Amino acid sequence: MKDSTKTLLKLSPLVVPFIFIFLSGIALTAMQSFGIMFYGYKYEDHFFAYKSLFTETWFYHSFALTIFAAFFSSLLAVILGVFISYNIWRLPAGMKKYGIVSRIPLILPHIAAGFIVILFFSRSGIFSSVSTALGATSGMDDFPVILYSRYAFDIILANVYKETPFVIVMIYAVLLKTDSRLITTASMLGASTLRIFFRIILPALMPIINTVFIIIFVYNFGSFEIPYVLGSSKPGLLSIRVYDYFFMKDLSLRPVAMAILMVIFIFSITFVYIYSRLISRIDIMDRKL
Amino acid sequence: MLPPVVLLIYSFAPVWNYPDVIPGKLGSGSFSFVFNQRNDIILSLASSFTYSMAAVIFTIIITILPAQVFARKKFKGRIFLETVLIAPALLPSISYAMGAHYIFIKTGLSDSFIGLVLILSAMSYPYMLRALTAGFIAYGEEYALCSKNLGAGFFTTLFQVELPLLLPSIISGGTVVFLVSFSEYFLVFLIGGGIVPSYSGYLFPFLNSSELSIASLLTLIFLIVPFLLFIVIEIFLTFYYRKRFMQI
Repeated sequence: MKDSTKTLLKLSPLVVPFIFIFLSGIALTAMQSFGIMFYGYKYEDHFFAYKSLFTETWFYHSFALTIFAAFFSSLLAVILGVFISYNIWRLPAGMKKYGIVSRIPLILPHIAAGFIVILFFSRSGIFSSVSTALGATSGMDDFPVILYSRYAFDIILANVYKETPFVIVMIYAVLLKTDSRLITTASMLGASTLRIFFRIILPALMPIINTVFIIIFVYNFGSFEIPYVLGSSKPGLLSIRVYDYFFMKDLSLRPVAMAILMVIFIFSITFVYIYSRLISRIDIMDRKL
Repeated sequence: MLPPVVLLIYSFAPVWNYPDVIPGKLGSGSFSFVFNQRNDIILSLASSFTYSMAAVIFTIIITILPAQVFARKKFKGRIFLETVLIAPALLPSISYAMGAHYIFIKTGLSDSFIGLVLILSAMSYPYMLRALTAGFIAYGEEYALCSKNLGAGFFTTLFQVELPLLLPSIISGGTVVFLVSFSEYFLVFLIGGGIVPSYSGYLFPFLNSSELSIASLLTLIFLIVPFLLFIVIEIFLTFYYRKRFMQI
């Protein structure tokens, strides 16, 4: 058998999930957003879904909120994750195994992460009780609005809780390969702790940090489960709008849901592409110096 | 770290209202509820476990040969293809799942166990692909060449030489696929349609309810299953490797 045929054959098992489900899933979402192939509905204006999106303020509101929530969740998760990971790495050998505790949220399903935020941060929740006991707030209404917050703080909290362990695991894997003697040498030469971190460790971690940030950002942007558990006020995140138009509204309005999905999809792809290009640009610039 | 402890306390506290910093009363109400509902709970746990395991097995089957290709053969566009194939895990699953849902309805796969396993595998195969490719790269071609030299056929080489060597990669990829499938709520609910029982589907209504105690206990149960699985895998690996190395 010719070599290339053999290769193709070996690659073929992936055809099922990739082409049959992923590609055609996207294709179908696209088509249905134009009102084609949609349960035999006949639409006069194939662009009606997109028109109704781009002409209404709730869409831009929702889009901005989703970007905001995704960005801050990812940023916080990365900062916290790098910080915790670095400190676990610097622990003396005997104590490192306690770092395992930080991985618990990894096995937590997203809906449970949302639930935990409800338990802790609702106005009748645990932190509220503690803060009243400490005298910082006086009563339920005094506690800041976190759940159903207009700026999606509850969603950000749940995302950070769920994703920081992921960052920790990824960063730790890279740290394990870094020689700790680099730090010893630097501090022997007189560098302060902060300097060591920002000049030696951070640059070494930047590649993995960028990768992780992309993964988390895109995931948060399109994530549905955490916002769904936490409930959102209007206009809410884009994914909740999708749910709304898909399940709660008239079947004839479903193409709007598909249109939002296409926006999410295209934005995600564009983001990954632009971010990756930016990184390689910066890399090249760095090397020229 | 703190939350699981809090969940544990909550399970024992049928009434824990604001502003108590610790529960006012302790009781085992949630435990008796769970015990009474144990049939439903065990059914949904077993179902979730089964479709997650099925997804792991299916992803192994579909990614093992492609992983070998990516690890060993250099061809034009290989990196591009590898990158593109990661897409279903990277990009939001809702964007293609809803389109795929329509296809599944037309092909009769929706509301079925097989359809669910298919969509879960489509969403998580990149993790397994990555793990297996790394595993193939780590072990190099020599073992397979040796066995072919000694006359082994394609399948013998695959099953008796390469798979055992890949065991760590299979486990690492498999844990991710299992976790992702087991914790998934939306896809299960969309494609499974409530016909396929799932623990996440069972748990969900409790999370928005006022029965925080029961919800906490159920969430803890949710955590225990993967945890137990990891322990079982650890024990299995210890004995497996001990046995293998004793034979040398």
